[in-house]
Amino acid sequence: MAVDRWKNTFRSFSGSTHVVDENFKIYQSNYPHNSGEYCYKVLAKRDSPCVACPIKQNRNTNFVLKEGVSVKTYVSQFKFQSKKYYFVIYEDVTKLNQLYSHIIQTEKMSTIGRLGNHLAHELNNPLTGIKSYVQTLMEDQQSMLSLPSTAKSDLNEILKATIRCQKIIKNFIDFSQKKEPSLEVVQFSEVLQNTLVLLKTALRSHRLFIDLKDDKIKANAYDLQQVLFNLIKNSCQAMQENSSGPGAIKIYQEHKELKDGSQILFHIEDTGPGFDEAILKHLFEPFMTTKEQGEGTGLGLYLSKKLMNNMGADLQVTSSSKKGAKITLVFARL
Amino acid sequence: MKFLVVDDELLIRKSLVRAFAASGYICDEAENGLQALEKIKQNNYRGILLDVIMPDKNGYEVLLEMKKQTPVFIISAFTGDDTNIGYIQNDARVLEYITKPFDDIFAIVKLVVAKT
Repeated sequence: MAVDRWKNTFRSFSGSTHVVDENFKIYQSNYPHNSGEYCYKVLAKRDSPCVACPIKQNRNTNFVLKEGVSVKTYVSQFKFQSKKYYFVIYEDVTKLNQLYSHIIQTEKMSTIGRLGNHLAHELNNPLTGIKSYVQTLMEDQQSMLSLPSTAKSDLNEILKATIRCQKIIKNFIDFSQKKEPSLEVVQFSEVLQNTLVLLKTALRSHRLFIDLKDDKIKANAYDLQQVLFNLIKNSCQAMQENSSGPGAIKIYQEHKELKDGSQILFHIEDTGPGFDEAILKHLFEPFMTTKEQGEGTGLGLYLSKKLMNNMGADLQVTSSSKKGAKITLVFARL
Repeated sequence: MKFLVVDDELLIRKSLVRAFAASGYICDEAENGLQALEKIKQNNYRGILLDVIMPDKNGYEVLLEMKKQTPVFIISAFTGDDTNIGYIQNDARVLEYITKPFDDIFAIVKLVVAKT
């Protein structure tokens, strides 16, 4: 009776609990089929003891059990019939670690955002000065006469450059400011153009084909910009990994008639490696990322879908193969 | 009659003064609210271009403390979360709210001249 009770108590534990001997052989486990096996074989899928083996160190530690799985271990040593045994509890902390690093990442991003916003405002002042000076100089006939004839076109270039800088700053401020989501009638192609300015560097190594009309939709321009930014950036990154020459992104629209009204679809198609079957199911879940640690937050698609839903629109993956993926923004037609 | 340009940012102040000069108008300058209030007391200006965020008394304080009915043009990088905006909206002397960065400095000169 007493043995059964202990056995049941032992087995009911949800974590992985083992009694292991000095040679890493599992003496007892709450997963009975593991008994008699080597712990490194069944738990870590290795042929030899783990490098950071907590048993060898005989102490509680955090370590990577196998690829993608981090565990926290609690180890205690005891002697039984003059043989040394280790009682080991493994707690899977993979999710916890991911969550933790995402929180840090999100915090970092918001700090960078605040800094960037401050920087943008600070830059605006001198930039306005430069621009105003150039405008004054160009208006002043007397000064212009005393300057070489090429001066006017040179000044014009300076003026154009400052306007461009201001536009970049304005886009950044618009982008980083969190506005209350209010819906307005916007032209999709215009919002897209504003987004592309921010993606110039990412798009440099790819080709972009845009086939859009002037259709207007009900959306929040800032949120839509954020969504487009995420999607296009994702495509660029996916095609980068694929690196068999430059990739291509196609952005085009389609009308769809339904029983209860018509829809306007905007497709974003790339020539990246597509999504894995296994990932596809979890694509819009938070913390889903295929990128290297530190590269992606795994929040991009999740937030994008949320933003779209908040606007009464939807985001869908309409096709995915080894040759590319197609993501579609679905709006009601006005 | 002269105009008064109040801004702590030298480049902005000077470029405004130069743009007014190029159009044939003379300006006085002040680089903070305290200086501005002093000059407003001593002179009668045709109009005041007033920045908001400045050291030694900001634009709002200038508005609160100045007794004269001189027309005022606020020049500011309005960010949308300005809690003092009420002061400006309720002050009849404020004729226009000009946002930085300026698109065209001569359009500002024309606007200020036309309204005063």
